[in-house]
Amino acid sequence: MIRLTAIHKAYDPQASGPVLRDANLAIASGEFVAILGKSGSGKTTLLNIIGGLDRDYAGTAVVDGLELKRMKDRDLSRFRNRTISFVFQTFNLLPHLSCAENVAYPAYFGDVVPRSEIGARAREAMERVGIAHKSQAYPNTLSGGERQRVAIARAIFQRPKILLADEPTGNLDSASGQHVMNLFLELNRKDGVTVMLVTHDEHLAALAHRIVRIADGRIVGEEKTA
Amino acid sequence: MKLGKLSAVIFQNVRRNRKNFIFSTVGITIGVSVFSFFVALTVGIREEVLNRIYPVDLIEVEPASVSIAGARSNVERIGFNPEGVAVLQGIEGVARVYPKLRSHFQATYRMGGQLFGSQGVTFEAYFDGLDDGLLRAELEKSAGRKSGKSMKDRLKARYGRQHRCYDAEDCTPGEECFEGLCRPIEYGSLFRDHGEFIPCKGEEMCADGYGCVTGRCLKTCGTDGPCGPGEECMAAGCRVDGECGSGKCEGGRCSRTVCLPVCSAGCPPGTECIPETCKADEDCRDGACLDGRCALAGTCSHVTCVQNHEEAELMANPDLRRGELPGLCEDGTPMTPGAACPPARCPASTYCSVQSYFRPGYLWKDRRGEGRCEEPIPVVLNPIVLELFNMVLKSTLEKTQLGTMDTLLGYGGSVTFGHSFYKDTVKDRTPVEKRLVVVGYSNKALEAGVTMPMSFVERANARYKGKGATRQFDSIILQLAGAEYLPDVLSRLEQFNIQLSRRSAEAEKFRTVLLVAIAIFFIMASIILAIAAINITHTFLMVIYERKREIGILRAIGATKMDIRLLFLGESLLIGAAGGAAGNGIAFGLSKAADFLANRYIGEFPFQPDTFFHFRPEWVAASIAFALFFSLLGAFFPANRAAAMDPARTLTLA
Ligand SMILES: Nc1ncnc2c1ncn2[C@@H]1O[C@H](COP(=O)(O)OP(=O)(O)O)[C@@H](O)[C@H]1O
Ligand SMILES: [Mg+2]
Repeated sequence: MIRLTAIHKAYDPQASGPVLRDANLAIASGEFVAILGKSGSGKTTLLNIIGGLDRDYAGTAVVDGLELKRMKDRDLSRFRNRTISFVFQTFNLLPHLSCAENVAYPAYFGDVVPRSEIGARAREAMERVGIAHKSQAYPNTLSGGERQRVAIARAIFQRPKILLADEPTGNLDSASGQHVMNLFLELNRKDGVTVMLVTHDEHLAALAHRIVRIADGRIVGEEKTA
Repeated sequence: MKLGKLSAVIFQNVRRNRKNFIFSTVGITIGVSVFSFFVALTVGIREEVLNRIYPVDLIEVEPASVSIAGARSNVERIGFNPEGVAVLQGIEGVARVYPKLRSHFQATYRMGGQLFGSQGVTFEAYFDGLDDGLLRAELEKSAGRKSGKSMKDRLKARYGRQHRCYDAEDCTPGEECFEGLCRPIEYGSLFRDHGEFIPCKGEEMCADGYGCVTGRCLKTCGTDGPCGPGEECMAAGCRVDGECGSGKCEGGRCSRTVCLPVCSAGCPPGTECIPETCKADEDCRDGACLDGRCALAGTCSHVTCVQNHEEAELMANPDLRRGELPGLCEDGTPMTPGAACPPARCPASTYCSVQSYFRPGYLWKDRRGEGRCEEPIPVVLNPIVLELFNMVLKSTLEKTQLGTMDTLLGYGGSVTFGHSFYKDTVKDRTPVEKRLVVVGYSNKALEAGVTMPMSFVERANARYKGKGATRQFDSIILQLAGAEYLPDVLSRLEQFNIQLSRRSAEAEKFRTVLLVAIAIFFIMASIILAIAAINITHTFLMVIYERKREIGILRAIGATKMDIRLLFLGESLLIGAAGGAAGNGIAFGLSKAADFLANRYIGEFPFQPDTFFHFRPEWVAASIAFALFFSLLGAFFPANRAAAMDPARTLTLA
């Protein structure tokens, strides 16, 4: 499903060294992989490359059979719209839209969901993450855990194949974090969504099928969990 | 991204940030309102004022002054004669050509009645002549357009039933008797040369193509061409050579043949058929009684009449102008001495046109004398005259204004040929007074006078200034097929040895000035809109900086670069549309206010329009297109910048 080969990435070659060096990684369809590493080790950069947000790197990234670097902006955007979804540490909800509108927003930038079904699909996604009762609320009236659930609802709204979660529990208390983690596990198990989850939390990482450790831009180790 | 979804997102963005939206719209609104207001004003002045004073589709040309013609080498010489008219008629875009002949002698008008009061007003007369056939066609067309109903319908609407009549006397004023039925007078059709009686003493007093035969100017025929309808080419009877003008009197007949109206065609009002047999010359009216037969038997001749009333009486009772027919009772029987009977008078549509006054020195007070029954000379007025009348009447005479031109139809006045307030150049000519009747209006008519049938002016010119006075036309009016032909026709005219009349030249100058004005407002508005565009750029850059993260989110959930660009361009289009609409709204409001103030504080003046503004759809559309263009222009750079933003970077920035 995801295959990274010899990824090299440097934001500013002069000032600092490369952020990713010779990263190789293969993730199968339906896998749940945790990326573990210190802050600044290059985890977010890795996710951005896989998610097609960052195209400025050396090496090849093939996701769902697509070589991302070779794709036109239009096709890459389509890929982001329907194949993958991001869940961010800072939620990245749009404050001027209600939760339901936030959830349904991806529909405006693609043709996966016809306009007439947008409402029903949004409600379905929100029920799935247990936040349907807040659909008319605005994001800034919700708690962190609730916001992240709205963000997850948005992420699954288009029924993507891959979820890229970048420290989704980083801003949450442990109970909410656990709840969110359970959602990811359930999505992976029931729907077969491939999940890449970035975290520093060893306990959460232990719930994944596989842990990929990254340090200073290098993938330093991989281990299967029980 | 589909258009529906795109616009949904754009509206969301506008709603979210109304303040920015309004702020960006203000500049566009100002620019558009300035543009629309002033363009509407210039167009309004052109349409409401200029085009009424100087109709767009009319050009008047005159022979070029020598200096102009001499300065250019490749000029095509055309004469102000029928050949020249034909050349001008051949120019593409020229629908019709109207040659004009001015009066070349002095005359004064005397106007009274409903307009100028019972005392009457006298002023110097200017008039010119236009081909009656050409102008009549126009007059009849405009009359038909005005009512849009057929004559029968109009009659029905007016009377319910039709009124039988024998002559105009049986009908109410404003009506004529036509084929036994009263009908409203079709004034336009009256614009024709009635062949008014113009006495002459010699060939010199008659126009080209006319001869002084039997004491009046008659059209010569045979070699000089055919006669008009209702006329026949014949040799008039005579006794001496003098009666035949330049011709000879041979065997009681003039050697020169002339056109004479024949009785078989029906004699026009005011004329009667000259009988076959006679005892004395008096029985034959015009032409002598030769061997018991009238020389002009079978032709129509103006009925002799006498006017016994003085001017004051005529002013008070216009019907007295019909004079009396000497020796005849109203019922047609001869007067017998001792037995009184009401005298016969000239027919209803005519008046007694006095040819020789009893006391020539007292023209305006006493114009009793002998004359002929004649129809009044039909005249056409320029609408400008009505405007000027209205001004003069309102301010100096304190009379009520005339509503429309139609109120002048049928209005009568007098013109005295050979009488002037200035130095009298008409020597040895007895002044003659003729009645006029207004039969229509046309923008081709003289602006400071009246327009008569050209053939009449031609004859009158000859009568008072001699034969040579009418060799060529004074000017030629070109009626264009449409205003759009104006530039082409003007450039074509440069090839000829002609120049625009003062009026047409003025009109051209004014049009150029207005064009320049529009250009200036265009530039002004462009500057304001450009500033507005810069303001939009500024605001958008700010907004994009604020929404950096949001743009990253949109990209992460699948927005393409083009989507991002279109979101901002779309928003700017909304700004342009709102600014364009608001700007036009404000311009419209201001125009109403300006009209109100103008009506209130500027005194009345001729050609004062109801409004000075014309909001032409094409200009309103242009102003909105401008607004859209400049808004897009302003948003172009920020939109591109937003599209080019690195989504990964904007998302990672805190
Ligand atoms: N947009 C950027 N420009 C320059 N340097 C960056 C940018 N984003 C991240 N970096 C640098 O790249 C390194 C890796 O960052 P990141 O991938 O965000 O690490 P992590 O997500 O593991 O904390 C860090 O040293 C960070 O300072
Ligand atoms: Mg990170």
